[in-house]
Amino acid sequence: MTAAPTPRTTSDYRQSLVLHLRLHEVPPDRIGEIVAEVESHVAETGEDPTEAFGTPREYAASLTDEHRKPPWWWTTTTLVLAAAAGWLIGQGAFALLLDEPYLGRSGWLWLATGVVVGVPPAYLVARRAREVLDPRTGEPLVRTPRWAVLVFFAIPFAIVLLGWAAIELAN
Amino acid sequence: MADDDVPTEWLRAVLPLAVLAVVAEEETYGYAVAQRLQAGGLGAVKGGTLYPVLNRLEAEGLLTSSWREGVGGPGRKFFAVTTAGRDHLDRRSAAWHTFTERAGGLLPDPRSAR
Repeated sequence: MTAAPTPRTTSDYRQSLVLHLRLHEVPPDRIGEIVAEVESHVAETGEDPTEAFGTPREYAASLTDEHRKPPWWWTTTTLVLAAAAGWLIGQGAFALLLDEPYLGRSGWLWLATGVVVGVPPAYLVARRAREVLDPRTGEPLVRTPRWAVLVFFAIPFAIVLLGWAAIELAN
Repeated sequence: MADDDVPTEWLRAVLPLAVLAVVAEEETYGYAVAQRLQAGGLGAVKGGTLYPVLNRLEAEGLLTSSWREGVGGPGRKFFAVTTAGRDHLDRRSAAWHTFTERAGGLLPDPRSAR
């Protein structure tokens, strides 16, 4: 294993541990417990978290009971559904913007089908991306910046708009 | 005792039962469990070893946990034994003593070998 850099502060350790636990698909409520245990313990002992628990990567990897890696077919199905939803919503949006049906069907129909197909993967992603709360305070452990949510929705929107603008200019 | 050359496998085998026994004495928190284990002669048990054991015992329904405010510091996670945990401790402790007696009977005793 390559030597992971040692986090310098408890806050760095927290950020890194949350990330590595997320990579092992540990449920957010368990992540909150695990991180709070580490912080409570080192506050009590005055130890360095890396000394007491190992690097965040090693500690997260050692907690095999907490890992919830889904089977490959589950991940594949989610990805295929998400891709299909994106394609359908994109085609629907283009058809509406260009004001002409796609393959003889209304843009609204493509759009609605895309939204329906996208509900299961969106639910799964939202469940995995739930905020990690600190069990000691009930507050979020790591704050998600507001712009992250904006970027998430702005990128597909911008792609459709750019495509539409390109087609309009070509005409 | 702590200076004895004890293989880590032995510690790994007895640690869940020892942790359960410490929590069964009284409701307590992680750091205090580590101190009690050290005082009992099992050496310094790191947080990275102790908390996974506590969490596994809780997942098996042998312990329960709750966060409480610490004195002038962050919260502490307290662990308490359940009825199932106490039954488990009684049964496994009896089995452990039988096992170590049998194993001891097979091993040469350095005190009587003189």
